[in-house]
Amino acid sequence: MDLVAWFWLIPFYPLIGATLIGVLRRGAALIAPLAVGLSFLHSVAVTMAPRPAELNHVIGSWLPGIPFGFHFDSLSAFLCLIVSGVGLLIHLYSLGYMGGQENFTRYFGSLNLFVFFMLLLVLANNLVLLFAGWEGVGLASYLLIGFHFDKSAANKAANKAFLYNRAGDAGFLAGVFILFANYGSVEFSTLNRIEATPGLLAAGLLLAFGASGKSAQLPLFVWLPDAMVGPTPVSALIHAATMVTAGVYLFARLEPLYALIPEAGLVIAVVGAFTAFLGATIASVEFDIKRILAYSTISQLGLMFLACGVGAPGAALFHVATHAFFKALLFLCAGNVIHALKGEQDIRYMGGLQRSMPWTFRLMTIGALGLAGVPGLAGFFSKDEIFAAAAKQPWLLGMGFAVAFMTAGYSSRLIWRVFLGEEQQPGHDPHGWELHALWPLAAGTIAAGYFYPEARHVWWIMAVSTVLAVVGLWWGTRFEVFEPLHTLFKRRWYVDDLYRAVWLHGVGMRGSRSLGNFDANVIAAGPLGLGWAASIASVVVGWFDRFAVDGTARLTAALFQAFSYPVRLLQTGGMLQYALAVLVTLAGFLGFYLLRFGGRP
Amino acid sequence: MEALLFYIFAAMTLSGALLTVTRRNPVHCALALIFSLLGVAGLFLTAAAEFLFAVQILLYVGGVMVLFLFVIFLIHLEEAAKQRQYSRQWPVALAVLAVVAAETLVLLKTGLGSLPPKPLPRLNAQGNTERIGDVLFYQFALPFEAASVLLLVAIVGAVWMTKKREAAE
Amino acid sequence: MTPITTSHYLFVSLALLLIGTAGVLMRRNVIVILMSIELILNAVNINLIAFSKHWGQVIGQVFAIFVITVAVAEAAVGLGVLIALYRNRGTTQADEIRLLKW
Repeated sequence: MDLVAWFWLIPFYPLIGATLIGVLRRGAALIAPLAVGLSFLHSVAVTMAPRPAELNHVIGSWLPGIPFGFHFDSLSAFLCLIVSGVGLLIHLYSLGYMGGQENFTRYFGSLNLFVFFMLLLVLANNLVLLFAGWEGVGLASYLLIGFHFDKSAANKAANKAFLYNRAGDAGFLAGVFILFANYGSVEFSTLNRIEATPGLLAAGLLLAFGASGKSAQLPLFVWLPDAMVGPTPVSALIHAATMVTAGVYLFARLEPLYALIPEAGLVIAVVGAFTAFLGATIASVEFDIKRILAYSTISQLGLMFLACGVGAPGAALFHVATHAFFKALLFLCAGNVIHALKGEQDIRYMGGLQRSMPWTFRLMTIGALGLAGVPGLAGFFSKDEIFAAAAKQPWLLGMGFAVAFMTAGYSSRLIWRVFLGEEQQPGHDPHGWELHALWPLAAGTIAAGYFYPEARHVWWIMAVSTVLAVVGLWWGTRFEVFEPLHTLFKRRWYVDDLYRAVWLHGVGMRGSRSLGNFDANVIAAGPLGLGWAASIASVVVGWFDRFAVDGTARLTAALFQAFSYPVRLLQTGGMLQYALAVLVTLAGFLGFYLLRFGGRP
Repeated sequence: MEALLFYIFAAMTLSGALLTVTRRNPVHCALALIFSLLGVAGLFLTAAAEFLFAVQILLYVGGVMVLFLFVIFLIHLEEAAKQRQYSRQWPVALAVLAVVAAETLVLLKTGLGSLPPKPLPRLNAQGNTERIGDVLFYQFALPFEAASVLLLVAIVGAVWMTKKREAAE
Repeated sequence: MTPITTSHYLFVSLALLLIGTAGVLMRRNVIVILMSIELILNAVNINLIAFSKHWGQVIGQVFAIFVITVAVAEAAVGLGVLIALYRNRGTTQADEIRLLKW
């Protein structure tokens, strides 16, 4: 079978896997990794095989003007490999991590489903099918964040994630509608060849808004830290390596379109820069190990958005790859620490685990150094590519450097607190999948940096970032953020509070209350008025019934009574009265006779 | 002479009648009735109805009134004698009676003119009794028999009605 | 004296009738009522006899015999009823007997 021509099957292995798991309810441990493994192998095969620059396959027409079609080029290959590869590793890790859990059938089913949707997103050849995958990963994310649905925190976090994604999706759809209205098509092949029209900027910004929801940027990032209540492998896969990169993929896919609207690019870059900055500051004051990593993800995604905004989606994608390796590695090691310490996630209660968890220490350190951008490791190269691209805008570059500094800071702070110093609770190294799934990630963290074909290697930037990394690493082991800033960062720059005030209390409660009033008074006024009129009418009718109708009846009865009264009086039952009656009758007859005949016979 | 007798008997009749209807004690009423009936008998006599005069005394006075007196003694009428004697409707009754009286008088006055004013003939070519017997048994034989059946029925009925009932009926 | 004409008898008859009727209507004692009925019947008889004399026929008297017969029967039955009524109701006052009304 020609694997290249059948490339579009790649998403469907995990779909079949998920279906089988759902139907059979057993064997998930075997089916799920196998399915993703098949996707990975197929992706490798298609990538390596000789193929045309673009592969297209259309199954049918889904809606008028919108085909159900797949597309494969080097961008697709790149993403497919990352998604299926990292996905496979995390499935394997999960065999160990989730092994003791009940319901891991549901877990693996949802995880497979996620991989299906992500691959669908990546391989779609038009915006609408991409959106189907986009929504699908949002659904899978909801299912997996809320996996432990007996915990209310999990349910709330799942809802929050889904809702913020939804808000972004509204913008996304608006953008798609504008594009369709202006250009009559949603296919990438068409959209990447268009000319600028007035609506294009709006569409581009709206799509970017949607991406900011998915990729946890300003203003829609607040769901990601809360999503950490989900199982750690989920955090690693979805919220570090794959789903959150969907926004970056979108920009990369639509690069020609965005090239036509540099203003949008500026907005995206600024948003990315600020988000990166904000994320890094908060990560520096967090004490929950997973939240540190979550804010770190937000920050790194900001850097990717920055790169896209300045017209270097290639650099962004490079960083996607390296980030996938070291962030997944960091998350999974964090998962091992949490498991070893029986659920402890607060780094203030950790320490000295270097001794009791040596391998975890080494692997996590590799990841942290990669994140910090230590020269030689992958993160260094990808970050520098981004800075090189941003160099055209000095202040963006400046912000990027600040972010790099803080990144190194919180990375070393993490390692310092967890593994160095006094041991508070002993841990133990993992074994089995929980350990062995990590080797490829570590390898990637070390080596991936050397595989970027378009590397620019701007030397002064590399020098500056090295200095920043070293100083930052030293700083992180020493100092905590000082006070007033500390509170600001701790309160996440009050973004959550702002949203709560505006949306929850303002629009939500006040809004719903006033809508309710409107409904009760204005809208209901119609039926209420009708009801009131009906009750008045019924009173009138009742009155009519009582007086007129009953009155007639009663009047008749009364008349009868009145007329019969004298007659009744006659019927006394007394003999004497009857005799008198006879006499009266006689008198009457005599009188009649007299009057009539005058007494003459 | 005849006129005098008439007036005497008429007076007897009417006064007896008045007493009958006004006395409290029923025995007094019965005696007054006897007196009145005797007056009626006298009136029969003056009207040349000798047979009826006899019949009246025999039957009415001797039979009916005796019957009445017996019944009066059977029923204890002492309590009744102490109660109110006249019914509540007596004013109305009197009024109506007056009306009837007036009407009848008018009728009589006007109607009497139609009567031929001949003097009263002597009635009896043959004896009154024979004449009555003649008519009674020839012309009115059927009513006679019927009257006897009526009396029979009356006797049986009266006896049966007043018979004392056994307790276990 | 005026010769006695038929109308004299008629007036007596009328008077007796009225008295008898008055007795029927006004007295409460049933015995007296029955006696008053006898008075009425006698008034009728006087009337019959008077006209019998007037026309010179005897039929009036024959009819009067029948009247007496009926009066006797009626008196007997009426007194029987009175006795039965007295036994059942304990009273002989006419207006206390209201059996004719339900």
